[in-house]
Amino acid sequence: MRPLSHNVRRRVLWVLFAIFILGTPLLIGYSKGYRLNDALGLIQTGGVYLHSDISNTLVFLDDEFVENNGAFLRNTLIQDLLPNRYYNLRAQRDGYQSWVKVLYVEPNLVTEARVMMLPSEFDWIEVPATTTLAVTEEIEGATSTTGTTSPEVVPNPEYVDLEEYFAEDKDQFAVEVATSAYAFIRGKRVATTTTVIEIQFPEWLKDVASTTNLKDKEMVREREGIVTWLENGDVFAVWARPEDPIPYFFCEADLPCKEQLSINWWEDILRYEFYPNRNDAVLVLSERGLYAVELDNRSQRNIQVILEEPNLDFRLQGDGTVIVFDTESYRITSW
Amino acid sequence: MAHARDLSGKDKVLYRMFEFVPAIISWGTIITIVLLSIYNPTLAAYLIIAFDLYWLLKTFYLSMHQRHNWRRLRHNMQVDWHEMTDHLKYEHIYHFVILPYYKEPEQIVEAAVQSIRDADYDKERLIVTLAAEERAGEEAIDIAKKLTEKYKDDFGHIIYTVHPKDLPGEIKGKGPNITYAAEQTKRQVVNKQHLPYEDIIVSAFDIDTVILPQYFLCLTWYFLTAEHPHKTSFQPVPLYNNNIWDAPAISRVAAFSSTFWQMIQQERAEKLTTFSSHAISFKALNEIGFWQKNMISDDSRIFWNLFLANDGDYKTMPISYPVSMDATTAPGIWQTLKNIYQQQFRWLWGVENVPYMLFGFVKNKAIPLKKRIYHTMVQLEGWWSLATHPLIILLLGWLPLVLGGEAFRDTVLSYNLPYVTRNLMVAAMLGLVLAGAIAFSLMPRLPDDHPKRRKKYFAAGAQWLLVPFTIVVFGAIPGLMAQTKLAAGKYLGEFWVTPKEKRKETK
Repeated sequence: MRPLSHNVRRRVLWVLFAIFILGTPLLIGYSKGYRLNDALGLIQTGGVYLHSDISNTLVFLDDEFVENNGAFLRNTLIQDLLPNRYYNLRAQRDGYQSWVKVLYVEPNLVTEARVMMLPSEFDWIEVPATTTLAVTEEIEGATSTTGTTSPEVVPNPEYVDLEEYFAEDKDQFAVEVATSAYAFIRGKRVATTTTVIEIQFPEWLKDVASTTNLKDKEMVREREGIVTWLENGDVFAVWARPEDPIPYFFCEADLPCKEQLSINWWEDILRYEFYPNRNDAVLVLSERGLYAVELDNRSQRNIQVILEEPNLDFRLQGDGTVIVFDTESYRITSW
Repeated sequence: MAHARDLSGKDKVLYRMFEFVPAIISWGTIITIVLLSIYNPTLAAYLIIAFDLYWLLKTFYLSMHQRHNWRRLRHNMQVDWHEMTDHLKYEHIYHFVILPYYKEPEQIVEAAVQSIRDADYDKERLIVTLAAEERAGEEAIDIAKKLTEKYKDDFGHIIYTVHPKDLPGEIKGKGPNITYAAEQTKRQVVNKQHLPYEDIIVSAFDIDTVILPQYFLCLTWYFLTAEHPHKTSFQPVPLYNNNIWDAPAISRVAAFSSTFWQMIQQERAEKLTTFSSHAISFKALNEIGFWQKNMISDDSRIFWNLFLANDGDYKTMPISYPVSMDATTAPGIWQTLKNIYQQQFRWLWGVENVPYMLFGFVKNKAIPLKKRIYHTMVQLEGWWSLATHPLIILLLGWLPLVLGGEAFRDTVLSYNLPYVTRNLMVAAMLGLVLAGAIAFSLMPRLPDDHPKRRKKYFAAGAQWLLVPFTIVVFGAIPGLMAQTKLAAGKYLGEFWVTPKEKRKETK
C-alpha cells in the first residue's frame, strides 16, 4: 500500500487554503455582526446581553419569546438585532415579579442590562416581642406532690437580640476613635478615655468624598466602586473609580454618561442598602414599604415590592437576610 | 559540534544566534498576542479567529494523513513479508541491533532480546549488541554477561559492550553508548568477519523496544527497494503497547500523542526525521562516525548529520510498521506525571537540532537552496506550533476579553469571539473521536475474562478528554521551556533516562 499521494495531499491543501482565505473574512465579518438584510445589503447588527442570577426565566424581545435562560448559564445574548432602534426586553418566571427594560441597540455594540427579579411572595419568619412558655408549678401535699402546668408570657430572647442589632446601626465608614484626656487629681495624673464615632473614608475614596461632600451626607455606602448616599429623602449614586470604565447603566446611547444617578420619589426615602451582591440596585424603605429598586434608569426603572406596609424599618445582613421591624414584631426573609 | 560553545569566533556568534531563533519566534508570538490584546484587541480578535479556522483546517488535514497511515499500518501488519522479500535477493543482508540500556530491569532487556530472537529472519544474519553502561554499575554489566551467554546460540553474533564512564567530550547519554557499541561491534564482529558494510542495516533500539516477528523482513524489503538505501534512514511507527493497560490514562494519552504525530509524519515523508528506534545502513553511519556523543537528541540529530554530510541528498523513509515500547509509568500518579513531563522535555529538547541545521545550511552551499528553505520552514513551523498553538487555542484566545478594556468588551466581536472559538474548537475536537478509534484499534485486546475489562475500555475512550490538558502541560510548556533553555545557553548535560518499571505478567 502506497503512502498518501502527493497529488491528493496537494489538492486537499489547496482546497483547505481556499477555505481559509475565503472563510477568514467571512468569519470575522460574522463575528463583527455583519449580516445580509432583506435586500441582500450588508448591515452591521448589534445585540443585547442580559446578566441574570435567576435560572429558568423566559426572555422576551418585543413580546416575542427568545429563550429560556436555563439552569446554569443564566445570561442571555440576543444577537442579529437591527441597529439604531429601541427594543422591549422582558424576563418573567412563575412566582417572580417580571422585569422589563427598553434598550437602545447600536451597530457593532452589545447593550447590557442586569435582570432583577424578586419573588412575588416572600416567606417571612415572624419574631414577636413575647413568647409563651409552659410553666409547671409543683405543689407539695401531705402524701404526694402534684404539678400544674400553665402558659406564661415571657420576653422573646430572639426579639431582644434583634432589638440590640437594630439599635447598633453602624455606618459603613464609621470608626470608633478613642481620645484620652489627662487631669491631676490630688497630685496624681489620671487619664480619662472617651470614644467617639467618626466617619473616615478610605484613601482611594478621598477625591470623590471631597467633590461630593460625603462627610455631610447620610447613610454613605460603597460597593464595587459605586458610592451612594441619602440626601433630603433621595438616594444618589456616583462612580468612584474614575480610572476604571464607568458601569454601563450610567450611560445611554448617543448621550454622555451621567455623573450621578438618583432615586427621587414624591415621598422621602427613609433608609436604603445595596441589594445583596449587586452594585446596580438598592433596597429602599419609604413610608409605603420596602422595595428593591434599580439604579439603572435607562427607560423605566424596575421597582419590585418586598413588603408594602407603613411604618417599617429594616436591616440587611451580610448573607442577604432582610429583617423588617413593623413596630410590633420583627420579620425575617431571604430569597 | 553540539552547541555554540563547541565553536569559536564568528562561527560561535552565528551558531549562538541560531540558538535564539525558536525561542524568539515562540515568545514573540505569545508576547505579540498579549500586547495586541491590550493595545489593539480588535486586531488580536481577528488574528485569533483566523488562527482558530487555521487550526480546524490543519486538524482536518493532519487527520487525513493519520487515517491513511492507520490503514497502511494495518495493511503492512497483515502483509506476508516473506512473500514480499522472496522476490528480492536478500540473503546477504545482516541486521545489526544495538540495545543500549542503563539501569533497566533484566526483564525489560531480556524481552527486547527475546523479541529479536523470535524474529522471522535468518538467525545467522542477526548481530545483537547489548550496550551496557559502566556508570550503571556491576548489576547492569552482569545482565549483559548473563544474557549474552544465555542467547549465544540464538544469533549469528551476540556481544556486549561496556561503555566506559567519564570519557572526555561525551555527555551522559544514549548517543555515546550506542556509538561505542557500534565501534566495538565493528571491530569485534564486522571487520573480523569481513562483513560488507553496505550489507548491514543497523537498528538502534530503545531498550524497551519489542518487535513483531516480521519486522526485519519488512525493514529489509524497504531497504532493498529504496532508491538510495545508503542515503536513507528507515523509521517504524512507535507504539507504546508493552504496558499500555498498566499505564494511567494520562500516560496513555501522552504516548498515543507521540504515536499519532509519527503516523502523520509517515505520510509526509519529506518532513520525516528519525525518532527513537530507527534503522540506518552501517555504511552511512560509518562514514560519519556513528551517532554524536556530545548531545542529547542523538536519534533525530543522526538524520541531520547524514543530511548535511550528503549535501541534502538524504531522507527518512517511513516503513509504516510498528515497534512496541513502554508507556511511561511510575509508582503513584504524581511521579508518573513528573516522568511524562521529563520524557516530553527530553524529546522536545530536540529543538537543539534547529541551530545545528541552520548553521549547516549556511556552511554547506552544496545543498540546494530550495531544500534548505523548505527544511528551515518545516522545522521552524513545527517547533513554533508545538510550543504556541495549544496556548493560543486554550488560553491566549480569551485574552482580548480580559485585557481588551471596556470599549472592546462592549462590541459584538467581543461577545462573539468565545462562541466562534468554542464552536471551531469543538469541530476540531471531533478529530479526537477519530483519534480515539484509531488508538483503540492499535491497543492489544484485553482477555474476555479480565476483571476490569469494561472499566478499562471505558477509560480508554474517556481518556481523550484529557487532551486539552496534555497538549499544554506535556506539549507547549516543556516545548517552550526547551526553547528558552536553548536560547539561554543552558544546555542539557545529561540524558534523562525514562525509568522503566517491571512489566506485569498479565496484560
